Amino acid sequence: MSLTINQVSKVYGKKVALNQLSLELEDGKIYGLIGRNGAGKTTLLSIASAQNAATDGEVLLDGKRVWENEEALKDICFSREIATTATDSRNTSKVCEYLRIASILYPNWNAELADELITEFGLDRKMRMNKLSKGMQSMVTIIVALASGARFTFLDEPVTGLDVVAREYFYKVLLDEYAKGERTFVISTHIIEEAANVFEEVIFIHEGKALLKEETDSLLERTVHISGKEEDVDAVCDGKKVHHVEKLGRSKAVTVLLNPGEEPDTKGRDVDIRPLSLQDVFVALCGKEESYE
Amino acid sequence: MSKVFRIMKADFRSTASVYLRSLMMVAFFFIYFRIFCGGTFINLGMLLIWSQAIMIYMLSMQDISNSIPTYIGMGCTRKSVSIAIWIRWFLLLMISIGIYALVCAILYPEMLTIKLFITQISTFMMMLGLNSVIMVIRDRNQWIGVVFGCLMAAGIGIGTVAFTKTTESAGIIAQKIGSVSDGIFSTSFFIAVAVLLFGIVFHTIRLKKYSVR
Repeated sequence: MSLTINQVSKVYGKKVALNQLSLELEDGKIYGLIGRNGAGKTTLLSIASAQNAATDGEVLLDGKRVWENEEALKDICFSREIATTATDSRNTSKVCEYLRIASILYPNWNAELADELITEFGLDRKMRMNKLSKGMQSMVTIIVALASGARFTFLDEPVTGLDVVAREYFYKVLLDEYAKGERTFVISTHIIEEAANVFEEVIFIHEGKALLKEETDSLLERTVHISGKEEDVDAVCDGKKVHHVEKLGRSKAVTVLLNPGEEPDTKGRDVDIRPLSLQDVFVALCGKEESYE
Repeated sequence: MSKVFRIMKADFRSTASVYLRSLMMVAFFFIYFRIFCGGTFINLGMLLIWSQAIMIYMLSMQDISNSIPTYIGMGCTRKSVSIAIWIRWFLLLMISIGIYALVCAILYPEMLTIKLFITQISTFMMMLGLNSVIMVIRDRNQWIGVVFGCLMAAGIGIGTVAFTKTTESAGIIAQKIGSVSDGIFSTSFFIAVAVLLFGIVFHTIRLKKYSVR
């Protein structure tokens, strides 16, 4: 089973949120969807789950269009930030009622898991949705996503407002569900460092386009930070993809994206090479600093 | 279980809650009128219309702000949501008329006429059709929707007062309806059907490309 996002564009008025974006999401993986604010992450996930209509392009699940397709939508769950949907000031339904609706609408709902998560998070079932704190809203989002049992589950900023204990617990349950081998998770987050170990692959979205989709380990292996005297750094980086240049006097530091299997040639050069974290890689690739090749 | 049925099952409690609240409201006012104002058949008819208006408005508000985004957000197609909502309205219409018939049969059996029922059904359809249009506009632009809503409420209010003023006793309302020519009666019924159909089409077209925000 695979989800194909084919040349999808989305335009809001004059703003282009997604620009001919194409992606292929495979079965049984955890993807990290990373991008700056306004990069198009939420729009992408909402179009992929048919919650939003694309201006152009299509989303296919095993070759069948997802839009208004009941069969396909059974296998997709996009649990988004509740504040923008259900927690309208007029929405006074209780948490238990919201979850009851979810249990009816998701055919593979795991009631046992939902109960376990509610207990573990210490969530009050009788609280009204419009009275929930940010962290509690995230808890409900997580419960719906994990208990939905959907093959393709998308989570938009799931850990916003959660304390560290709840976040750890979320990652644990996420990995448990993933270990069953039947589900694919796409997690959009700004808390990159914490989630980096969980992501099997990362997708960088920048200005409405997919900048990169790669296995996390492979990306981290081939991205290095090189610093030293300017002429030495330039010599080592000659012909390589260089990002995020920093200069201080005669010293220079750059982030280099090597080709798979490639090693920087530092023979006779006084440079310091160190690996980068996923967050640093993201900043180097999508930050404002100018890059050159 | 089909998705439409699932949506209706999910929607049942909130619909029942809103419906009961509007019924309680009308029951309270009806009892008040019976005790303190010597309540008449006309009170019952007018109160029923008002309770229907309140119920339709409250449920529509719930649909727009909560139910529709929740159901579509949980993997339902717009078509299923649309069908479920309209089936629900049809059932509510049947229940409303049933309750009306029951109360009428107990308190004012002499007033039970086919024409009266058709009048009630027409009113319901007319309000539902207009309300659907208002809700669609409101979803796009809150303030224009509110202005339209107020105009509709004012229209119903003025109509109610004018109608009440011109009917002095309980029997006159039935006589009035009874004396309306068949031509006018059927025209007003078809206008109500047309307004309802317009509301359904307008609402369905809007829902076709609905995006969860």
